[in-house]
Amino acid sequence: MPDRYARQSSMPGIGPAGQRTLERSHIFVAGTGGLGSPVLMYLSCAGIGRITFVDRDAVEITNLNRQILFDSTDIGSRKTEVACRRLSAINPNIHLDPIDTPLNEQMITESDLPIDLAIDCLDNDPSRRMLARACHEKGIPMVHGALAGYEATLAVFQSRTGPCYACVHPDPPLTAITPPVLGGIAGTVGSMMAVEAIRMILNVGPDRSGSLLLMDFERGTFDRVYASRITECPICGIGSASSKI
Amino acid sequence: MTLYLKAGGMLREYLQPDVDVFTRRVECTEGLSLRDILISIGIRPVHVAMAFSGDRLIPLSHVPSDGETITLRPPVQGG
Repeated sequence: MPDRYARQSSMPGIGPAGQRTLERSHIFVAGTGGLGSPVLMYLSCAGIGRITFVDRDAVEITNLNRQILFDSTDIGSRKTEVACRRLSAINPNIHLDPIDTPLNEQMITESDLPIDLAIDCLDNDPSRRMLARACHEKGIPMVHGALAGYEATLAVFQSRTGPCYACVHPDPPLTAITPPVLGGIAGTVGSMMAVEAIRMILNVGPDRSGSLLLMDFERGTFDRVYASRITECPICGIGSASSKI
Repeated sequence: MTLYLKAGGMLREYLQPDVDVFTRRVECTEGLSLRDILISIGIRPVHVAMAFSGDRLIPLSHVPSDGETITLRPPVQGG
C-alpha cells in the first residue's frame, strides 16, 4: 500500500526521519475559525502526531464564508466536535485532543504532555496575550496569524531569544468586534501558518522568529519586517511577572 | 522636510492619499515624532497598530528623516 506521506517525505529537509519527527510532535492550536480551519486540516494531512485544539463556540452561518472545516449541516454544532470528526476522516492515524472551553494559560503551562509549538488562530488581543504569556512561561515558540479586511499578519515569536507578541503590541490595539474577512485570505494565511509550523518542527530553513510577514492583499504587497524585544514588554520584558523564568 | 506615508484598508480613508492611491506626501517640521505628525494630519494614533520603515518595525516615537517612507498598519486582530 502506498505511503500516505510519500509525496512530502520525498521533499528535501523532510525524508523518512523528518516524517517520524512530525509524527512524534505535539502542536497546540488556539481557535478553529478562519485561520484554525486550514491550519488544523494541513497539520492533520501532514501527520502531526498529536494536535490539541481549543474553541468554545458553536458553528454559525456567518462562519461559513471562511471556516472550511464546517458546512451548512453543522450550524449549531460544537466546533470542536465537528472539527474532530472532519480531521479524523482526513487522517485517522493522528491523535486529536479537542477542548471545548475558553482558552486559559493552564492548558499550556500545566499540559501533561510536552507541547512543541503553539499556533495562534485567535480573534482577539486579550486571548493572544494569554497565549503569548503561557508560551513565554514554557519556552514554546508561537506562530501568530491575524486578519482584518485585506490585511493579514504572519509572525513567529520565540520569546526566550527574541520579541514576543506583546513586544510588537505593547498596548492593546483598537479593534473592531467583527472585522470583515474574505475566506480566501483566511485560507491563504492559515495554510502559510501550517507550513511555518511544520518548517519549525523540522528545523527547515532559517530561523524567522522575531520577523513578521505583513500582507496587504489589496495593495498586493508582502513585507517582511523585523521587530525588537522591548525592555518594558508586559510579558517578556524586564520587570514583567514572567521575566524571571 | 518631506515624508511619505503609505496605508491600506481602513487607514487609507484617514490618510487621504495624494501621490497614488496608497501614499500621501506630508510636509512637516524636522524633529517631530511620527505620533506628532499623525496627529497634525488628523490621524488618531490609536488607529495605527504598527508602522514600519524599510524592514524594521518602528514605534510611534520614531523621528522620521527627510524623504523617509513609512507604511502604517491598522489593527489586525481577526482570525
